[in-house]
Amino acid sequence: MIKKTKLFFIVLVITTLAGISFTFYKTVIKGDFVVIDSPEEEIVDTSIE
Amino acid sequence: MLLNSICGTEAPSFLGIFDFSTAPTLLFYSYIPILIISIILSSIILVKDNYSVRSKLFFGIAMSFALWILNVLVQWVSSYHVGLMFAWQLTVLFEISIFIFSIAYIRTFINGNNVSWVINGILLIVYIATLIAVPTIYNIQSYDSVYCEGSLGIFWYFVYGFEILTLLWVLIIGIKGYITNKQDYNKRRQITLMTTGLTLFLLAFSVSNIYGEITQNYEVNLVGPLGMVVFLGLVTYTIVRYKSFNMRLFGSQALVYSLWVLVLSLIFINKIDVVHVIVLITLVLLIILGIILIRSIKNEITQKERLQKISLELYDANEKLKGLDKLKTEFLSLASHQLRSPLTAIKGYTSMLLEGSFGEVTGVQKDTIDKVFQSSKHLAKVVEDLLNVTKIEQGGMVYQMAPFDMEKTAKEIVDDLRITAEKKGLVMDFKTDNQAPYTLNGDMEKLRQVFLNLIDNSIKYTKGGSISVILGKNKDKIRFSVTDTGMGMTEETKQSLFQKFARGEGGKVNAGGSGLGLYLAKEIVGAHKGKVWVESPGVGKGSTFIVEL
Repeated sequence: MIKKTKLFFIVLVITTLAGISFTFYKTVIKGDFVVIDSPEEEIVDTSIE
Repeated sequence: MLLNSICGTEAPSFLGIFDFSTAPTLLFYSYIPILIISIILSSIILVKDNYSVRSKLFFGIAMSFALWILNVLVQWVSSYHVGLMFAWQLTVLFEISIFIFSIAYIRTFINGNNVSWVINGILLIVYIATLIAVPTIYNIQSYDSVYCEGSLGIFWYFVYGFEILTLLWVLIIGIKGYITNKQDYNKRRQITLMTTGLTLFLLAFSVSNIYGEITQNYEVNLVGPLGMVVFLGLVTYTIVRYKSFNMRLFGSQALVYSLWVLVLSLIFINKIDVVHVIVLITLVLLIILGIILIRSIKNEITQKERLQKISLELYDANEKLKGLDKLKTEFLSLASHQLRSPLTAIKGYTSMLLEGSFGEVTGVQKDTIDKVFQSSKHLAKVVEDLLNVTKIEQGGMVYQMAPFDMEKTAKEIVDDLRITAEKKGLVMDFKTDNQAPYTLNGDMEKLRQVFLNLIDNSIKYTKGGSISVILGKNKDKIRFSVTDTGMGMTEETKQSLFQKFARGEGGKVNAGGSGLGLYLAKEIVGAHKGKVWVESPGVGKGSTFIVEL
């Protein structure tokens, strides 16, 4: 039987990996983030609407 | 639009996504060795400290730090904007993890595994909040595609605040641990070293990050990880000096691995000034390692020599003791044999005198001769016991095993001794649990001697009351017990009663015993693969001697 603390850490690691995967999907795959072209400070939103 | 565009003008030269030309030369030689050392060191600690909680937490610090370093390296060398942004976003997660693990580690190091679930809950909330913030604009609010860097969001105010709070928290835990461990000097020293190391590491790390962010000069961040070197150094020193991770060779191993990494890195360096720096670091580590190794070898040799000397002395002493013990046994055997013959004569002639074989004896004469007869009988018993002990010790005791009826033997003994008991005003009874037959395969004469001894002891050491002899069965074993209302005994007496020449509480009252009866009983019963023991509720509360065969 897995100890409660071990189970807790497994859940935490899975949650972390899920969070990182989501960020990867949002940023790298979809390119969904705010881009500034300095020095003109022109804001370009690349998110897919 | 931005997905496939690269930062700068250089095409990625490594794996199609990285470009090393943009990174400062010292980056690799300051970050990579620290990264490798951290991973190796924490892994060794984890394995050799048997996966203890504190070693797992130290591993957590090292791994979070290693991931943070890797992430920073990616930020320096990544060619694609999306990769850069992703790395910028992840920084917060690894940075927070370092601080969370640091608090948990110092608390476990000082207080053991007594964790407070409230504090753990707070740390968990901080971590989950960070994880949720990672992909949002509160973490990295925008990305500058010209300078190829992220712009930090408002969540970082919380991150830097948490870092400063953690720093103070670690210091407070350390100081509190130092104050509460007044008696333990070694523990205090360990706490001082660990707290100093961790504080310096966190201080260098957070200050360089905060300063780099304020001034937008990210090369300052390169200084930060050097705090980890101080921390690792102090951890290693603490382990070697105080063995706080149950290891001895640990420090030397870590330093040797560090040297390997440093020497290996020289192969890839072209710039002579960088080579000088690396050689200098290698020399310093070599000096430290050399001193530690030489001291360790000296200690080992001294201890080994001392152990060999002690071992030889012990061997000699043991041989002498064996010789003395043999001599004593031989002396006892000889003396007993020499004593037995005259005693038999004394016993025989006094018995004949009492019976009137040499003419009528008067009342006073009869009393005196009876005293001589009783004393010679007692002396003969002591001599017999001594002879039996010497036989046992020389391995010369011979047992004539044959089936016999225990009930009959026990009844005979009780009948023989009942007169003596009644003379003292004691009531003696004999009972069985009605599970006859009580047939036993053993040396009847020797076992008879054992039972006789036990009942005789009870009579001797019981001033008034009763003696109850019970014969019964316990599963497939026969149990013989003698319960008296005598003087009883303490726990300590119970432990030593069956040893040679041991005297119980009764020894003070009855000085006549040889102190061998119970020792012989234990040996004889043991030879029959049985056991004998005593139970007593305490002094003055009687006792029960039990033989199970």
